[in-house]
Amino acid sequence: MTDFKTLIKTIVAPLVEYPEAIRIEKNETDRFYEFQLFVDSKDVGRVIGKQGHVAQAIRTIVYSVRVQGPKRVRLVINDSAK
Amino acid sequence: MTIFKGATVEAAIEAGLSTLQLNRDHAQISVEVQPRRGFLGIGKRLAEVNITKVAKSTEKSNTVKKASNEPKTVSQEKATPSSKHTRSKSNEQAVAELEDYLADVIEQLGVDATSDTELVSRQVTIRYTTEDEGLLIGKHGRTINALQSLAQIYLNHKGAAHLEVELDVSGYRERRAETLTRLADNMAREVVASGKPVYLDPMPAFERKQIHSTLGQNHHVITYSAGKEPRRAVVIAPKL
Repeated sequence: MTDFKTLIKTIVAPLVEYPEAIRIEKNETDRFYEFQLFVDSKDVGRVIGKQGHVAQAIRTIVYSVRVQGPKRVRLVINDSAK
Repeated sequence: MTIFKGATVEAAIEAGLSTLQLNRDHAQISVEVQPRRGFLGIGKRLAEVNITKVAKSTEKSNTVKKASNEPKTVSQEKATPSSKHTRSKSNEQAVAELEDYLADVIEQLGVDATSDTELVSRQVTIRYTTEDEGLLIGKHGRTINALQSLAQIYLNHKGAAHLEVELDVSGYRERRAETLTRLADNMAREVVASGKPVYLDPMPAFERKQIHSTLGQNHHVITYSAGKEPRRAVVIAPKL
């Protein structure tokens, strides 16, 4: 299985001001592999983008990776840490 | 003053310079005879150039002058960097960084792809060649379009927002353009026949644009877009 954490980090790191603040946590539920993306509070807007365009592009790419089994991947951008 | 021959002007100059052991900067080169390819070896003519050793001070203007009617000479290529602005330098750098970024992401996706980049004024085109075409393109080009918008976002973030980027995988864009033209024509015919407007599937802006321009000259239908991004779609309606 592709390393989702590395993939997400590769995509997101060049788009933010504080790449060192990026943190990704993996949760496995019975239906999803859920990845929580934490970025610096000043960078949340950059990762989401106008109308969520950036977030949408990131998600599309992350979801394009094929995973074995019935579970799907889900990327959650954590914007509550303000 | 010596005359040298070669299949091309460039080859003749090359041969002459190496025989005389001269640097191009120290030689005055004039083309005596332009080469001809001929047909099946008939009418073939070798290029002849005249090379003279010159002092350093006069040589520059001479070589450049001679180069101007010879599109392939090196001296002309040398002249280009000096005419470049710092802006295009930074553009090239931004594009190179973008290429690295995309290469990283694509590698992480587990796709083996080679890229070929072209930068024409403000339009960046990166073409990928790969075995896993489908994986990189995605359903209806979803993945490659996402990568393309990501590439644009990256450039904007790097302060090169004036550059417009297009990604292509093994001629996908061209194939898609053909499909869109065909779809537009078929749908326009249907609209004219039924007299009712038709909504196409949602498409990204640049694909809608292709449909609009295809049907722009059509006198029987009008086109407009309806809905909100990302589910904005072209509507083809009969002209009243």
